[in-house]
Amino acid sequence: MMETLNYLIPAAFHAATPILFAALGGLLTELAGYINIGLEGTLLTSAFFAAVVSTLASNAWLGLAAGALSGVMISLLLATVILKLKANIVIAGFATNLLASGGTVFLMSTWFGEAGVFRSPDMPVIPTVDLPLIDRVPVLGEALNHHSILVYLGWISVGLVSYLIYRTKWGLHLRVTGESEETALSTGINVDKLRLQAFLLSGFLAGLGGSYLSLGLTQFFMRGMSAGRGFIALAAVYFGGFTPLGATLGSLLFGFAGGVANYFQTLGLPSQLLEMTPYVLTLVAILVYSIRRSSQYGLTEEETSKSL
Amino acid sequence: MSDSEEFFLEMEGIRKTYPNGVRANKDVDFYVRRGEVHGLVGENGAGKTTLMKVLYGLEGRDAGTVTLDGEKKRFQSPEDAIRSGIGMVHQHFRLAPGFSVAENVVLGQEPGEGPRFDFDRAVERTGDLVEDFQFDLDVTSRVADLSVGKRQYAEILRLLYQGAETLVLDEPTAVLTPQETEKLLASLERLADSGHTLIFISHKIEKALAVSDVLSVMRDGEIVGERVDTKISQEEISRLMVGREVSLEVDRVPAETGELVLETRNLTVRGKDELPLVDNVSFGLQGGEILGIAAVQGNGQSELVEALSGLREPSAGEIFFRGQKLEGVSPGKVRALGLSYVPEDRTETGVASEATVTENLTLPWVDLPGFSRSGLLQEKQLERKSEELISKFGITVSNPDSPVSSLSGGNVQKLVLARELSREPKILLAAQPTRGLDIKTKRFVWDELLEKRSEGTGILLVSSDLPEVRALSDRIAVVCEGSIVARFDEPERVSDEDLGLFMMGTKEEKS
Amino acid sequence: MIGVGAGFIAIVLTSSSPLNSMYVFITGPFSSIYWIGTTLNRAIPLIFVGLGITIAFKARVFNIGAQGQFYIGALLGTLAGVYLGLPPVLHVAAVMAASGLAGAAYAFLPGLFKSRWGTNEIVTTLMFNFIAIHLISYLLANQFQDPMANYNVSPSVRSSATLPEILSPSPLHAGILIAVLFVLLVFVFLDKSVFGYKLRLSGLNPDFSRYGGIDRGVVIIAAMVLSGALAGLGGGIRIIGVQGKLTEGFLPMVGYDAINISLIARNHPLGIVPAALFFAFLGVGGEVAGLFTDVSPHLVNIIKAGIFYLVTAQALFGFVEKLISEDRLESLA
Repeated sequence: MMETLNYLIPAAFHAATPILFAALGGLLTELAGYINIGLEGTLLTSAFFAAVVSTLASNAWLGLAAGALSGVMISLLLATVILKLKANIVIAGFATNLLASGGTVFLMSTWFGEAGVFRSPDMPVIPTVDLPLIDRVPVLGEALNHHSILVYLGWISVGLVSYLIYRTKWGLHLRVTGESEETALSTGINVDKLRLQAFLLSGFLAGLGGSYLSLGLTQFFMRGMSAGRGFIALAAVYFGGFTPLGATLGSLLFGFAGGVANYFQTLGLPSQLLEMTPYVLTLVAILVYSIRRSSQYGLTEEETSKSL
Repeated sequence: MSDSEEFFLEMEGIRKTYPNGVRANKDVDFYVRRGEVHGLVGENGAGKTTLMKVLYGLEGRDAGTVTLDGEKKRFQSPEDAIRSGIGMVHQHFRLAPGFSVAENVVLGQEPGEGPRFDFDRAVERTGDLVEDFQFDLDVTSRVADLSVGKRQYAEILRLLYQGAETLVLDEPTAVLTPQETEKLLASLERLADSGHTLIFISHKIEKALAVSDVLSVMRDGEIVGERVDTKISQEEISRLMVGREVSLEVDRVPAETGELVLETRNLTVRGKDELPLVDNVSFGLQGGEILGIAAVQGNGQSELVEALSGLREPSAGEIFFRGQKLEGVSPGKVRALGLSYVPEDRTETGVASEATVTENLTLPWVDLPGFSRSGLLQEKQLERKSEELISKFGITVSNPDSPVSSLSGGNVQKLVLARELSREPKILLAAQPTRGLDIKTKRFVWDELLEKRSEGTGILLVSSDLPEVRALSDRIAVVCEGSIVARFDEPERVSDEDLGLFMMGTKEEKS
Repeated sequence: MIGVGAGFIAIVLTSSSPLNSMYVFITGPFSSIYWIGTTLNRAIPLIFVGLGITIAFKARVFNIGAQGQFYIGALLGTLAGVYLGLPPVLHVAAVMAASGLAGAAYAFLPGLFKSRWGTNEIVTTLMFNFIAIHLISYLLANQFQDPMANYNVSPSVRSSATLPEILSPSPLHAGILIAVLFVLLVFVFLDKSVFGYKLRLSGLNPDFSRYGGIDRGVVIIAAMVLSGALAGLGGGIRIIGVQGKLTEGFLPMVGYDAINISLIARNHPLGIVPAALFFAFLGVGGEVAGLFTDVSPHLVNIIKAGIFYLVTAQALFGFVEKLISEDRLESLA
């Protein structure tokens, strides 16, 4: 039992990390009032560039930087289309994902002649570390130790993002903008700039997550490797009720489910039903949330769907 | 007449025409002294709000100059204006409901080092302001939980926090009871005493007179009374505003009432906290009479109307329409029983702006045999009906297939009336039917209501416009905090002050 | 529309494909009966799903779940096609009914949630999409697997349920006729029927319609159900027209393409057909180019992404137009 746990818990953390980063990013845009459907594409793009640059430059850190940067760039594209060109967030999000999936394969085949997997045996990856005191923690100690730096960075990010949202002026502005754009505008808050910043940050975070995909969780880039994680991250945001802790919980839970599903697959057990669970759980969570909200009378239709 | 050194604020030759052709300001000169309370009065649409919007940077001007303290200014935005110390409190507040008063007040200029937001300090600073001016407000409370009157204080606080020396208030008393108004006017006096300059926009002469040092009167985009002494009479001001003797006289013959068309018994509607918004309300309405419900916004009359129109389910009590008990929520059912409803918010709930005039007008007839056949619309019949209504009610529209959004406010209200009144209703619910309308349209609406009354329709008139309630109602019921606190079967015998006291809950009658 | 075309050309040029590839791309779909038929075939599911989306959008219901409804419709359609034994015409009708009802049922829950509790339908339908994908994946790997195949696929649909080809040697099947029929049906429904009128009015202003006696809850559910039915029907027809069996992950973007199509068509049922054809043309053009030139087929995805962006940015074009005319007005005044 301990054996399995010791295997599963780290696996859960690993699987959860890209989701966590993306979810934190998704939370930011959500608070600004936008459902970031493009997280999936962002993860994919950053995974690709992280792998490529890491190999070409023989340096994992440069790869990480490239990954984060590409995440920012693609979010910039998405944000520009949405904010400047007033595009619909859902469609633009799917467009981004399409661009990412087509683009990464296109580049992969054009630059490296590969159509499926980009792999290099000497590709440097993000190192794992041993934290000095952590393995003293009872029960989980061993499982908490010896992870990739990015995993720990993920945990730290939760704290950072929380602080950003609740304790800074920027965070206050963000939350007010998402709730009442008029109010924000009337106080001179540059709403568009704020939203752009939210998207860029979101891209940065998701970029970190995507980099972990190819430089940590695995050591290669495969077409379509984001495998729906961007959407699971969105689910985590909704499941967690739009709070950083909630999103973290969701990411862990869903990451865990994903990890177990993988485990099942290796054992030959049916994993699809397990893979369904994040979506089902989120569905239930949203339903509960809206049932509770609807018992407040007099909300017009617009108001109830304001959770977007 | 104008000595530039004396005046703190000078607006000269202001011209503003809106894209739809309306000339809101035609060569306006407006002068304000430092530290005075200056009332700007005029009818709805006279151009007062536009003038202030131009000052405040919300609207650009076509011509004219603005001089503040000797310097020529052109404010491009409210942020600009506030930096020069001018702040405007709007009719629709710009507050984020889910956040506390303190957070709203400091928004944009939050205390705290660097990126950090110091909430405690925000509470402290806001609290200081509240104390200075003796507003009755808890700065940590959520805006969503506050009454409209208190929210207004929050708005004012925000401007003060941002350093406004000059405050422009646009119809601040529109949403207050007479007693709340007293408090506000007292606060405004305190503000003026401490050196602030106040510009007070209103179409209610009485209120403006009560607090202002001097008045300017606008009509049709022009200043017709410049810096008028407040000692002149209301009638004279009124004449200036309207250009003619205002006749708010209504020929109302005594009501010939018929059967009981609407009755409620112990009607209660609860809100989200299980608090009753409508509390044990019982009354009866007969055909051929107008029952006026006098209440300040937010005292349950909107919910009462929602319950009566089938839009909201009562938590307790019963409603009877012409003897039949209403079971279950359904506007459709209620309409089928002969009820028509003119809603408060005509553009939001009265029409579908993007749909055509015809589509909006003919909604009630669509299910009827002449107008549809086995599920398909009979377009010719519907068009004919639409044209009939347009001409009968004098709706100004070039093409019945144009969207309602192209109509002016007065015409939209005419459309709503046309639709609701032509159904030959037995019961009519009219909520704030003349809000925001000019005098001509107002009379039109009143005449229509009176006509329906003489045809035997029972009308429930919900209005916060006391003169309107008085002029039209055969009986008045005052609602305060959800229950009926007074009934008057002879409205001529009650004074506005008394009505106000009842509306506020200060006076109570055993009914 | 012009903007879309312009953007398309711009993107193709910047992707550094040789002129020949472009030529092949654009003319490919027309180059032979085979390709024309293939293009039309590609348009069929787009038309069905697009019609469904149009109804939903008209009612102001944002059905992002068309993909899932499409799949579920395909699932039930396949089941009906495999396990029922009926004479040809009846069998096709049965498949159509099964797939339509399945799609409708799958869309019912999100509709119910929105009408009862105001639950955001974008998120719920999105979740249902993924659930459908995994459900089908599971079934194809287990219960519903063709024992003789060595990958996850269903048994084949019986020939009595297959739609005939109508334009040999192309794979174009009779589904196109059914599609056109439904276009007309939906048009009549929306424009000429009482319920369609109520649905549209409710979409334009839900509060107003409610107070006017139109039950918004009913409209929401009806819109979702009809939308789902059409999407499901599209799935069923795809199976019996082209594939003959259910596989994993076929036409993975149809639900989202359909949203785009509906927007291009300005939510008008009659506009769905040209819009769907356009998308089909794009897809087939990419295939042809991929086969006969050195252009990567993935380029198509990139182009499509560009189109997506531009389509939703149509607001921009309207905005620009307004700016221009306002400028002119001011200079006159």
